[in-house]
Amino acid sequence: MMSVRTVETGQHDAYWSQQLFACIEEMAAHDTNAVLLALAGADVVETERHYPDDGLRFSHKHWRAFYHCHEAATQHESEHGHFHVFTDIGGEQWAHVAGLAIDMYGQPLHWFAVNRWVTDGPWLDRKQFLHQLNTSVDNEQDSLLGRWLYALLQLYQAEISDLLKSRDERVRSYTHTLELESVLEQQEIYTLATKEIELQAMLEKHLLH
Amino acid sequence: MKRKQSRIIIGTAISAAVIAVAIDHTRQRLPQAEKQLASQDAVIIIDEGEELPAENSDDCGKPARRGRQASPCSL
Repeated sequence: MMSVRTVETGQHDAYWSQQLFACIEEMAAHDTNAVLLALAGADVVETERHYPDDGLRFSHKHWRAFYHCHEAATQHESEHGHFHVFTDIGGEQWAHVAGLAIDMYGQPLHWFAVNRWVTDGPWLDRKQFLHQLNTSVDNEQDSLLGRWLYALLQLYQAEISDLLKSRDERVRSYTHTLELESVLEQQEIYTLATKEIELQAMLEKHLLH
Repeated sequence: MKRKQSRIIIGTAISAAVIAVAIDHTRQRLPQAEKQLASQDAVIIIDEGEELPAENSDDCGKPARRGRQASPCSL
């Protein structure tokens, strides 16, 4: 178990790269990936349905996620589906952090931020996100999927922080013509920001240097 | 010195290859997503002549709670 606050950034990234790679090796040994683990052997993937059925909780149940697919027309063309990650902000409230788009082979494509109406619930800003992440700890008892997702969040915390910043800048750009509340509920505005993921390059950067 | 440098380069190449192979083993084709089964949707039967339920209200006439339809990616 490791608190992020106790390590320098370089050590932090190296540590979480090691954790993530350990998860990938474990998945590789069983010829599986995060999505197949979430699907838990389901023969048919139904659009809009949440996987796993009973949800996924990790990091001492302070974080939640689910995987789902939409109909092809509403997704990125090479996307199979995406994880949505939420964090416990107290008072039985869960704030959406980011979406994690996955390709047809179970590999992460990009992080994305959506408008508030898409996920509903409280709006999480980047400071809150960093606080949530930096005050949480990993849990060896979590499922392989939970450990993979948590390591990915930790490793990509700077990128997700930038993602939330870009999202908020985009929202602000709409407020020249609309009230903030209207922007957040505007159904024509869906994805507000994305950040590409180059997993192999990221792991090489932190594990080989 | 030259030999030492070569070892470092080879060592790095092997490690990069190990990462690539591990990721490649997780590259597994996912099952195709199919449209949600109709049986999962709520079915409302309305008798002939009966009033249609208001689209945006619940039984009590209050605004309906936001569901997955309104917020497609909510918990």
